[in-house]
Amino acid sequence: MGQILYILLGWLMTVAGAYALGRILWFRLGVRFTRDEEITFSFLLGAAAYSQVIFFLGIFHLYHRGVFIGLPLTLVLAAWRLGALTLSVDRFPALPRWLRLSAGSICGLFGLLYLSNAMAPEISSDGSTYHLGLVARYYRERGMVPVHTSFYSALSQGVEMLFLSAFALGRHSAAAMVHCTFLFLLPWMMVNWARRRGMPISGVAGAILVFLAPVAGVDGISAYNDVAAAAVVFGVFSLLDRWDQTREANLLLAVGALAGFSYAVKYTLALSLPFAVGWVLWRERKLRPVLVVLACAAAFIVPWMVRNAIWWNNPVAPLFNAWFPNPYVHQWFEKEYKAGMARYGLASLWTIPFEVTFGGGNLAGRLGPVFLLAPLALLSLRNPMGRRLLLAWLVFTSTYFTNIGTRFLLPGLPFLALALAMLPWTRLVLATVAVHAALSWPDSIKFYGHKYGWRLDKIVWREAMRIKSEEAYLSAFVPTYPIVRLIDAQVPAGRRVYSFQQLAEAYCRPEIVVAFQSAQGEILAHSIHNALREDRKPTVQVRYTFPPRPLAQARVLVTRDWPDARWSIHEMRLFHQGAEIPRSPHWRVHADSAGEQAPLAFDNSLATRWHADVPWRKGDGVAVDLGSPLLVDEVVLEMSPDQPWDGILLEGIPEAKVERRVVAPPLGLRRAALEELLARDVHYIAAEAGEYWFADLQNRSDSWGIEEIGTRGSMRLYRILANHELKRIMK
Amino acid sequence: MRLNFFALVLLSGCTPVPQWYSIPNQRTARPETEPAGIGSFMTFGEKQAPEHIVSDVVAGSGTEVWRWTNQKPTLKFVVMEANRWTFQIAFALPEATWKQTGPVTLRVYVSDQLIATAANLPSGRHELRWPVPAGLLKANVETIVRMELDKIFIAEADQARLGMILENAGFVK
Repeated sequence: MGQILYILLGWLMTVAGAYALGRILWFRLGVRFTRDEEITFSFLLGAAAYSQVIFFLGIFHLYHRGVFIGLPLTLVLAAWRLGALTLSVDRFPALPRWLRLSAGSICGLFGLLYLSNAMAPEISSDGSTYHLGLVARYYRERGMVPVHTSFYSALSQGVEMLFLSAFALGRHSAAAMVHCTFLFLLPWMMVNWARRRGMPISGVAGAILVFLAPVAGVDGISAYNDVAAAAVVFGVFSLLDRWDQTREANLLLAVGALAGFSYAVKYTLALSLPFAVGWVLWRERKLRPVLVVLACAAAFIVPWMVRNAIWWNNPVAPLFNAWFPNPYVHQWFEKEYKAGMARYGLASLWTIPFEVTFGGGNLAGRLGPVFLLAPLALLSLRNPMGRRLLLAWLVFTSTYFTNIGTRFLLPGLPFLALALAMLPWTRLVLATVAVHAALSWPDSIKFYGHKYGWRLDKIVWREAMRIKSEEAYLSAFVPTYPIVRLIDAQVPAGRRVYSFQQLAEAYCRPEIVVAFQSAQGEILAHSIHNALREDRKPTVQVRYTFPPRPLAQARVLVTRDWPDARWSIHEMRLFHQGAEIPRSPHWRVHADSAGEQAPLAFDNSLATRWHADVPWRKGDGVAVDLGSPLLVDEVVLEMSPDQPWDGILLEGIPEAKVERRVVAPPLGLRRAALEELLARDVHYIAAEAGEYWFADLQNRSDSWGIEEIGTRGSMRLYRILANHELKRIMK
Repeated sequence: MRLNFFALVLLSGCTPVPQWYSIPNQRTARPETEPAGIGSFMTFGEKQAPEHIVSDVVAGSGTEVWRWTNQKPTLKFVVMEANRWTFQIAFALPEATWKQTGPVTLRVYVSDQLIATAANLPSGRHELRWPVPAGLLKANVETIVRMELDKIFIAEADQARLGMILENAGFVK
């Protein structure tokens, strides 16, 4: 029971803090709304401001439980003393009784479904890994810290700041409930907008279409941020529309703040800002209101950019790494990641309409089959409100093809739903809503949707009230939960764990270094690949021999472009009279691409390699500065067989004779790979049956130099032995 | 703390990425961690695999990822310590040969001591594991493992005697 109270306290404090701050801001702005609008806009604007406050608390390392109790209480008290908590007496005309009853009963039922799942232990894929993993990390560190092993931590985290406030008191479920608040807020805002525009029935219909959409439900009850994002952009739209009607200058302050907060929630929603600026310019061709919007937005955008510029050398990390090269996220990774997100492995993009409405298996969730009627929304172009809605839908869906997961349609969904609901055939619209309700209930989805599509299963009150064991629930629904509990129990504080897959790191304290989530993780993955894959082993030596000559610098460069591959060098060695010239601390090394990795070609480890971050580019090179001239008569590049050695030139020595030799794979690569992990403070490995190195870890534990700590399900945890613990294993 | 942060904000845009880097700490190769000769486990396709063969494995070029065996394929292994090992073997009984032999029984002997019997094996791929009794293995000493099949396929055309398709075998922890 105590846990339930903490969950509710965490959620309540966060919501109350945001709401009170919003009430104060609107009070100061002097903008009057109806009672329903006051409540929704207060929470929304307050959430933006409260998130920003938590950002700065994090910068100053003030994440303490007391702060997250004291701050909201202070805000509530301040709002009360100002008289800002008094709600407006203005109200919209009442909705028809039949509409209230029918909509209330449908939404009430789904509300139970949503609330119970939000309050149940957090089991979502991204929520249990990075969304709350990072929140938990920040809270443990008492402040926001750069987590260079996860590019996700470079994304703006506006909603995660709110999660953090709730997490400090009520842990994971409290955070999920904060997101669930936005799930209830969004349809309420949609109804309010439509009522203000004199279309209450359309508003209710559109709101139900969104509220019941299966992907909105499952996303909204999880520690994700897509539903919150949808609420924020709809807030921008609503306030702009209100400004359009009243031209109250102070509304633009809130518009700017929410447009800026859109960026803080999700980079792609930075489109809110040009949308708002465009609208203001369209209606009032003056610079001042535009500057007001821009200035307020900047207050929410700039702090995130400054943080990233300082911590990631890239203000918009983890994107645009070609513009802002940095050692934390590889350009090549960004390119491949974007390509992956744009396809999700679909054979054809023409399957998207089916996937996002019916299937849900490949694109993680579905909107519901009735959204196949979406083209009918075009009919609403006949009236001005319809045109506005569809323009907003177009803007906020325009980035969808950068990530075609169904949930990325959510920011535009309210506009589409309202445009659909505005169709003049009210009975048809209401019938569609009824069908949508029937098809969106979890038991119905089983009949038409993909069985692995992301969705809710049922009302889970026993789990929500912790009558059913949290451990059992998490173990059943979070595949990596058992292994992270083992990690939490066995891995000492400060030690890191390496994994080729994301783990439910929100449930453990040790840092998980995931292979694909950072440049560091990738470098370590390459070391492991180099040890195991024949095409990656350094079995090719390219030798440049020439008459002895004093060299102050040696540089090799590629002589042609090769767009599909990257250049790599395991080791670059210099010789004189057959003996390798020992590397001196005075030497300096350089590479035109991925310069920070250049030392990997000079570390005497054949498990590591310098790996360019761009395709083969004519003229790119790797160089070593010897400080002062040394006699050299041979330069050797040790490379893998997948490199076209004939495209490489030793600069400045045209008479050098080039020879390619194939040599036996060196022994000891497995251990050498793990020594790279140790060198980066990674002392443990979590691997799952099915991963390509799993059997080798098991069968060659001596060669790797590891010991098994334990097994949970199909996953194993190993400790990497220190060098002094290695036994003499082979004769 | 506050001063530091604001100083950082004011003084830094994106920090320039350095052009030249120092020579890193030099790593020491540890070839002894992997068997130059034979080890505790062998997988066909690996360089050292042929060195594990004692007898009754059909000859190959050395690069195959599996090999046919005869009736009593015998391999040798070296383990680093004596205790807590499991013997593991992955092999296949192809449908084509199984049609002639019917269900097959495999017996595994470690140092001439029977440690396991797998009876009535159907066709298909099998991956089997049995614990090795304590005291049977000696550290850093060659151990002979003999596998016996009760029936083998004999080709009508060339009288080739084919037992199973062996992928890997050896001692694992």
